[in-house]
Amino acid sequence: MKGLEFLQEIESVTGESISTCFQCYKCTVGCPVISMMDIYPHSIIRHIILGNRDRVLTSKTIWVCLQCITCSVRCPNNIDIARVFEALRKIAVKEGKEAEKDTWQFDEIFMESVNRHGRLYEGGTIIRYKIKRRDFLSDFRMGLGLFLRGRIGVLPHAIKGRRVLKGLLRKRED
Amino acid sequence: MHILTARNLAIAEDAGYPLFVPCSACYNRSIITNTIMRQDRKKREEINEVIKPLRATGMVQVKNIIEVLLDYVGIERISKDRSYNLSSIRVVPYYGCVLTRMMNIEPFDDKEAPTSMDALLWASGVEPVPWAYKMECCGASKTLTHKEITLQLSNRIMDMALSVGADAIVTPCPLCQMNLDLLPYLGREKENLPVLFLTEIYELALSGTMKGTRGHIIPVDRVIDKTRKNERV
Ligand code: SF4
Ligand code: SF4
Repeated sequence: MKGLEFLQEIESVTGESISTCFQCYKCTVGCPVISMMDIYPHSIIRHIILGNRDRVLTSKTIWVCLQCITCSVRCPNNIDIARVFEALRKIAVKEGKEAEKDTWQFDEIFMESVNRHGRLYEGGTIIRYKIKRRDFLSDFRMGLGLFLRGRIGVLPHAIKGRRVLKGLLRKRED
Repeated sequence: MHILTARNLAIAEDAGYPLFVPCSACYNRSIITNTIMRQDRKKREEINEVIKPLRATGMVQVKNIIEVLLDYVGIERISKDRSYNLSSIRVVPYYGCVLTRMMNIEPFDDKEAPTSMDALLWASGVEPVPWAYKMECCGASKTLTHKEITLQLSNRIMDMALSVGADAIVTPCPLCQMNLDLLPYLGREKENLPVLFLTEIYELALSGTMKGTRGHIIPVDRVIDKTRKNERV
């Protein structure tokens, strides 16, 4: 067993009492995407307690998670597992250990769009994401279908007070 | 983290109205922020410092579409005002994953087995069918980054709806509506059921038709065809 540093680190950034986990598996049993995870949610929690830092930070699981909060709501010890995963993502990205880049890239482009227009500009966000991934054709039919049905617009709609919002988001980053 | 939601809350508070949040995920986030603003003085000051000169105290009411219909229109009026008979339409109520799932906050309906939309649907005249996937996740924003996840999850929901003999899926969440409606593009080759946003049911009950048929990817004709004019209102 390694030291307790990792457990304490995660407990302090999330404010969750991870060490109360008694491995009941309830989180894993209710999770809709375990078939695509390399480590089950209850095991991630256990690995945190055991201090297996890299094992957790390089796992696919934290990225596959949909943040549907099913696990958190069901945990008998009131551990917000989804929130723990979210915190793990941030640490993984900071240390360059993330198992995949797509989700984070998308999140960043999403926030950039909010920053620029004051709200999400769907069309632009999708196109920027596609450019970053150098993948133009895979969802072309879907995009066209949505556009023809008026479900995504070509032009962004900006909100009132966009500049003020930009300032707010900059403050958030500091 | 709470800045965007706090800003919206502050604007609503200033205007003196409750805040209606159509998307379930946005609703969930707004409720969380609102609760923090009300209960955690230290965080409230921190957040208000960032959104200055706006200011949120956490006292604004945050409502989703189910609550708006229940609280401001009311079951009674809904069941009285309908001019079309929808009784031959069987629907499955699909609440989506995060409408009532909240940590340490009492949601407006049961966390795992909500019934509020069922009541609204009964009142509109359609027949809500009990099923196991009321709150299964549809795949959320993974549609863009991991299409296979959304396909697998939404597929399962569609299959379950078909297996209980529903004519349509009704949801109060725009993202759930979108993901399920996208199934033909995501690669599903089997039969699909129309996916309706909750308010479209009322449109049917009031006008017998739906203005937004063109916006649907999965055709909604089978639901409109089953709508009958009320003989006796
Ligand atoms: S549900 Fe909670 S207590 Fe049970 S295994 Fe998961 S994290 Fe541990
Ligand atoms: S929040 Fe993530 S880990 Fe928890 S049940 Fe949902 S998908 Fe699974």
